[in-house]
Amino acid sequence: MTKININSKNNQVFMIRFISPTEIELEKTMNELDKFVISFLKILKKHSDYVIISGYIPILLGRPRSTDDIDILIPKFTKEKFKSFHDEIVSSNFWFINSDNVEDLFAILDENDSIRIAVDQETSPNVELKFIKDSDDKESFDKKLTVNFLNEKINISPLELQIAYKENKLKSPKDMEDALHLRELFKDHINENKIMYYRQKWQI
Amino acid sequence: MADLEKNKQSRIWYVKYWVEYMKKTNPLEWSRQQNIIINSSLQNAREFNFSPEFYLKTKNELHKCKRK
Repeated sequence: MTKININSKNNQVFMIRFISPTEIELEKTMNELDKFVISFLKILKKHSDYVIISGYIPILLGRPRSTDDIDILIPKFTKEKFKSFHDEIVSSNFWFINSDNVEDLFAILDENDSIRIAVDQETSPNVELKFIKDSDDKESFDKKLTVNFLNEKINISPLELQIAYKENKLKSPKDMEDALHLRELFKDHINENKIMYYRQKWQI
Repeated sequence: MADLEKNKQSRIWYVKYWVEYMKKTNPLEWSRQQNIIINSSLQNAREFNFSPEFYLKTKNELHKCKRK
């Protein structure tokens, strides 16, 4: 059952590793948050490409904390495309926390704001869904990584962008610890020049 | 102030400790422990069963609540 990662030091048991520059292999048991995310992504993937950003990334990769919102970016939908996505969401035991009205929901998204989707009649956990709106969002999307996890593929933002954002823009203790978790976990893979690039881009 | 700094240092120590623990522990075991934290936190949140209006208010997003 347990695989040994022969690439790690001293043949340690450690099943989170890069298997290519853009792919991470993850072995762990699934928790309720993972199940929620995967069940939502099964629907979203039929309608759009996507990338997960922010707090769920370190959690997916082992950080021992929870969150009640999963931030997901998608390219802009047309209203028709959104309606098709909306209809499948509400017929799949999810609901939109903000409204039952598809026009209202699309208007929020179209103003570059986020909407929240949860299991029907619940509020937590939820997906905070928004359109890609700036160059950082686009970079997250264009340079996304894939996490291979129990026959699922989950798209996440590049680790360096997440670390830079958490350390230099968000800066709360929780975000600093998330960044440290990613740094410690991927010591041999984190590219400091990329983190510097983002700092310079943001003029920090 | 000293307490805050002490707390910060102990949290940093714990983050590093946890990653080292992950690296030398069967993933089924460290994720079992992680899942206890996550699953119990989600269970607590579900038991509160906030209304959409109240939940969005806690997120400073009441302006995005379009429920009539």
